[in-house]
Amino acid sequence: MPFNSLAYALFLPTVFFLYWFVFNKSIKGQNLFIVLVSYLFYGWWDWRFLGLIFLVSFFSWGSGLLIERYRHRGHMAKSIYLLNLFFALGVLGVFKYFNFFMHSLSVLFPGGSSLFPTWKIVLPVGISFYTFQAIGYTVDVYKQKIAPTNDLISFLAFVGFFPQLVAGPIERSTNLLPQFQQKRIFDERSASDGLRLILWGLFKKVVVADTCALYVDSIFNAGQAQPGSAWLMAAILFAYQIYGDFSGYSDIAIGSARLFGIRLMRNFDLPYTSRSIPEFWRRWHISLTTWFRDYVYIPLGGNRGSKMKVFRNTLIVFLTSGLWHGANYTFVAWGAYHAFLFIPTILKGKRPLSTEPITTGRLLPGALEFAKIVLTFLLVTLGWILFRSASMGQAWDIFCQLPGKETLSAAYKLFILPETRKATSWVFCMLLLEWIGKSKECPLLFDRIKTPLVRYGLYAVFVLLIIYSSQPDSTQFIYFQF
Amino acid sequence: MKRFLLKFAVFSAICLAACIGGDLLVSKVYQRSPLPQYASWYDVIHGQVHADVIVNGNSRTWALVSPAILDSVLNISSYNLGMDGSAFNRQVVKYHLFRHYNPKPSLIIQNVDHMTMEFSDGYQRSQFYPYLWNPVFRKAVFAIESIPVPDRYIPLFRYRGKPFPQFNRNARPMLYKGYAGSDRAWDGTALRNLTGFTFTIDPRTEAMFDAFLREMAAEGTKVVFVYAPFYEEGLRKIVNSEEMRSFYAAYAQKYDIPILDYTKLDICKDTSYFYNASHLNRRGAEAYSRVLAEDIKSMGILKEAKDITPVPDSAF
Repeated sequence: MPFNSLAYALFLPTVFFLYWFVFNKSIKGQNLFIVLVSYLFYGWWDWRFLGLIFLVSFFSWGSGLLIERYRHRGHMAKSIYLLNLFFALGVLGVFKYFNFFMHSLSVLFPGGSSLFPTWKIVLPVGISFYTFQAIGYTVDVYKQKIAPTNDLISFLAFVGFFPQLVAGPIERSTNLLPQFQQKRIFDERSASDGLRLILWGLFKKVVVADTCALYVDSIFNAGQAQPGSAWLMAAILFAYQIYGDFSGYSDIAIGSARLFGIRLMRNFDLPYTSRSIPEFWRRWHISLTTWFRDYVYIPLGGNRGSKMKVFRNTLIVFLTSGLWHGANYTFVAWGAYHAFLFIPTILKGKRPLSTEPITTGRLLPGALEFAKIVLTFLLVTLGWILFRSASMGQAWDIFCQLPGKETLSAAYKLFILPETRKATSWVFCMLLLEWIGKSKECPLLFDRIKTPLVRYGLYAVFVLLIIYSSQPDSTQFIYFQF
Repeated sequence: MKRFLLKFAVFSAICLAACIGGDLLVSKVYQRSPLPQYASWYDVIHGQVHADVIVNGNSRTWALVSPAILDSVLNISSYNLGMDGSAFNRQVVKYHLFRHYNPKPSLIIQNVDHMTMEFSDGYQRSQFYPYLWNPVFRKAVFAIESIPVPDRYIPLFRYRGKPFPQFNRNARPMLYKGYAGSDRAWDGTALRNLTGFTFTIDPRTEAMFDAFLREMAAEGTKVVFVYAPFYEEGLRKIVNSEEMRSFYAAYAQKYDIPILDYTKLDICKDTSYFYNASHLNRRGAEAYSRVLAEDIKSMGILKEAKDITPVPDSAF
């Protein structure tokens, strides 16, 4: 069930009450309850793949135990580790990439469509997320970062925890698994923070992202030529659509988890205030980028070795990251684009930048910093064109339309055209609130307003906005398709 | 935990109050909207329809019969209760709501065609939302519209995704006494792509039709059936035309109702009077309304009787 649905609005408080008032007698009982409701949550999407998520979880759990048992026989432990990797990646490969590769091969070879037939495969929701989470556990056990657990229930809860099951954050076993192995104490402040995060996440998704989507979809799905300014406006609004959508989902997931005494990792950190592309990737989809850093980039050698090697490692990471997002060459091209944007940083050999808010101690960024922020945003937005396009052909057509004076008119058209000004207004509201509250976990923490009723009144305004802005046929969360 | 639950309860109460207030505000503004699907209800619910003649039907009444012309030819007051995209199940609910708040008419001109006996549910459903706080209205509409439960009972939820209505007291009304003439030019695309129209009978709608005619007969309100003009090529595409005519002829005979057939008028051969195969444009509507009015006049069936007794709630 989507987070922005009435079903979830009924599901969450019901689970909350049962979790704290009925199943709070033992850790095992609570974990078992979490597993059951998580599987119910997942089954709401598609019950046919409940077996798959259990299988992936069980294999990973079993592999962890076997790796530990045979650790003294190095090659045996390694074989089990590789077998589990092969299984998890194989599951992902079959469901997500089989038809993509078959189609690609059939294009390359004459008579290929009969040589490389495609199958009717349904993509299980969230497969990219929970397989990576399970793989991460196996790697952590193999590398002895975490001891394997023999508690299957807590492991199933770790992999299948419903707030982050279908679209992340991709949690590390070292962070999440221990939380299921110890008693959870209800914390009022944490639960209140959780509710605020849920409200903020719904605002970003329903009010901001879905409003942007109306214009974005009308341009990208029009199937006809558009002027350059229309494409640029659509690209800019898509940048905020995907941010509002995905970070909104993450906030709802993190907030929901807080209600159960579970802390998930932060997934976004004001990414569009980044002053460079490397900084952007430390602020955007943090759980995935750190996963690729720790499990792909560093094992390849990281930033050790020659600049060529570093670029090679960066390219591999971004190509696989692009492919992770979807079985389409546009995602691969998007990944390659970002890898190439890293070249200046690799050539300069720069140390990683801080992720502190850029105006610590100041109200606004300086002129140079602001220029860097705008340039980084534009570079990222151009990449989003690849990401959003249905095909490389469409992306190419769009890029061909962009050069020209007419395109620059997008800068003011965003604010005055009836079809874009509403979305632009909401984007500005979101950016303003995020900027004002940048030192807080959630911009809706109105801690300077001492009167509770006034705070509640403000929150009620957000609730009204969310209800009134929600579309009858609401757009699905973008990252559900990954 | 107790403090958290208490705070959440207070917050929920504030949200509920805000949603109720928001819904009431949006409903009030939509009631005043000049848009046809909302404007047509305002007069009805606020008791502003004092008409000797009521014209009832779907969009082939709503866009085709001009009360201004009926009034000038017949020297009476008429009102067009036609509903876009609505079969008789909705028409009869609107008529009964009209009667709950307004005096009884002397004559009902009931448009009948291949769509009248279907069962309408869903199309332009939002036209009902501004009045769902009215218990009489709510009971009537819930009986025929399968409005989802959240839309029925969660304040403001039914207005989700809808633009906030423009409230302009000076906005030029888009309807005149329920009539919305169209200035659109002829477009034959749909006709070219059409395989055929089929007259279908939903038993629920037929039961309502029968009950309605019985009620009109009992209270002495005259009814006239009318086949409104149809572009001739479109008329030929009604695949079971004879079945349709037999159906209405049977009810006409049962309740002694005259039938006026305007499907063979000269204007039916000329696309300049139509904007599509089944709908006259404003020019065609005015020509048709004049002919209709003259025929009604010559039939001498109008009465002066006025009954201000409202329709009881039990009728819904």
